[in-house]
Amino acid sequence: MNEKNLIWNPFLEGYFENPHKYLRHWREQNPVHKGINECWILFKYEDVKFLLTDPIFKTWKTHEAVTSANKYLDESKNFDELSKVFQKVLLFLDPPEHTHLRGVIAKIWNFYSLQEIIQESVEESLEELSGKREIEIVADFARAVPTRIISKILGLPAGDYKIITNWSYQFISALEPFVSLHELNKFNRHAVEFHKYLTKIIKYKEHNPDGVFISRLLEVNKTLDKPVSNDEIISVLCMLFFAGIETSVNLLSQSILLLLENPEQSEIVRETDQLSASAANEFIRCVSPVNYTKRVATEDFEIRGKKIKASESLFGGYISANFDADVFENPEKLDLTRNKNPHLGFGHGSHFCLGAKLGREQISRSIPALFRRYPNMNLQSEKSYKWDKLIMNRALKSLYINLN
Amino acid sequence: MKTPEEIQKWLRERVAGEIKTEPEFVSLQIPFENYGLDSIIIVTIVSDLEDWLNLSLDPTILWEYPTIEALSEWLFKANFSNQ
Repeated sequence: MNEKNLIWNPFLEGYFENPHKYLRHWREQNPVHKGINECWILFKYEDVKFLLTDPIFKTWKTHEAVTSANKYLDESKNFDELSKVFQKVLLFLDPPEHTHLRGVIAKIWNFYSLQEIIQESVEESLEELSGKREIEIVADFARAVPTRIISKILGLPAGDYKIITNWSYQFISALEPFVSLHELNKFNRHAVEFHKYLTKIIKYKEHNPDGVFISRLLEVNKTLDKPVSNDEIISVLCMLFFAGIETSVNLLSQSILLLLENPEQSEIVRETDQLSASAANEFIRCVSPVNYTKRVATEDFEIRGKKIKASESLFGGYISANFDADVFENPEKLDLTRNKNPHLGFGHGSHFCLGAKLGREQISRSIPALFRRYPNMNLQSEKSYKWDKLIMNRALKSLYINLN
Repeated sequence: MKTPEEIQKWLRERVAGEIKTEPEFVSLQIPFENYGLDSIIIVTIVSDLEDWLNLSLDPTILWEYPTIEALSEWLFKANFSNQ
C-alpha cells in the first residue's frame, strides 16, 4: 500500500470486500488523481462537496452515452429503448429542466404519509420469514421491504414484485462505469419490457384513477403548460424504481451486516421501535449506498495542484468523503450515538436525494423491527456473505443468517 | 490453452475490426487508447476475450496492460504458463 503510483482501480485485490483500506490510502496520499479508466476521482470530503455544488460542473448523462454506443451497431439495431428510459432521470438533468421536473415530482412525492406504507411493508416482509430458521437476508428482507414500499407508493400490483425488483437491479447495473456492448444489449431488452409493462399500467390508470403516485402524476401532468409525454413519465418511474429500491436494498442489508459485526451496538437497536436520527444517519454514513457520483467539468480548473480540463469527467467518492478524518472523528467506527455527522450519503446541493426522508424512515423502522423479532440473529459463519462487483453502488450479493 | 502468438493474433484482428483496417497495420506496442477505442469497446473486447479463452477477467485489464504485447504476455503467463 506504500506504492505512490497505486491508482484508483476497483478491481484491485480485495476492493469489493473492503474498499476502505484503499480509499484511506488514496484520500491521504493522492486525493485527486486519474483512475484506471482515465476518469478523475475525488476522495476528500471538501472536494466532493465542491463537485456537487459548483456550477462549473454539469451532470453526466447516461442516456447520451448509451445513444452514442449506437455507432457500434448495425443500422437495424440500437439502444434507443434504454436511452429512452434514462432520459428523464433527475440525476442526469441540469437546470432549468432539472428544477422544473424535480418540482413536479416533489409536489406529488411529498404528499405521501410514508409511515403506514413502511409499517405494512416491514410487517408483510417479516411475516414471510415466519417458520424459517435460516434466511438469505438480502433477497428475503433487504430487497423485500423497499420493493413493497415503492410498489405501494407508485400503486403497482403486489404480484409484480419479482419483475419490478429485477428491473431495478438491471437499471442500476447499467450505470456502472465498465459496461460492454453485450451488457448494454441485455439492459436494452429489459428497457423494452419495462416500457411495455408501464405503458399498460399507465393506460389502465388513465381509466381507473386510484389517487396514488402514477395516477396523480398523470393528473398533474395534464395541468402543466408543457405536459410531458408518456415516455418521459416512464423514465421518471424508472428513476424511482432503481433509486428507490437498490439504494435501500444496499442500505438495509449492509446495516444488518454492520450490526452483526458490532454486536455491542445492536442493543441500541433492540431497545426501540424507531431509530434515533443519529443512528439512522450513522448507518447512512457508514454504508454510503451510492459510492460514487459522476460529473463533467465545463471549464478548466485546478484542484490540489491537478489541472482538470473542460469536458473531462470526475467521480466524487461519497464513500471516501464519508470516512474523511478531517470531518468525522474516528470515522472507521460505527457509532450510533454520533453527534456531528454531516455525511454526504444522500448527496448534497440541487441533486440531494429526493427520497431522503423515505430512506431515513425506512431504515429507522425496519432495522429495529427485524432485530426485535429475532434478537439472537447471527451470521451463519464468518464467510456467509458475498459482495457483488458493483462499483457505483456497493452491494451485498448474499448474506446468510441464522434467525434462531 | 493458447500461445502468446495466438493471443496477439486474436487481439490484432479484433482491434483492426474495430478501427476498420487490416491486422498488419495494428502495432503490438501502441496503447489501445491511441486507436481511439472508448471504454465501451475496451470492456467489450475483454468480454469477448473471456469467451474465447474461457476465463474470467477483470474489465480493466486493457488499461492495466495497455498494449497488445503487454496484455498477451500477461494473459499467457497468468493463465497458461506452468511457471
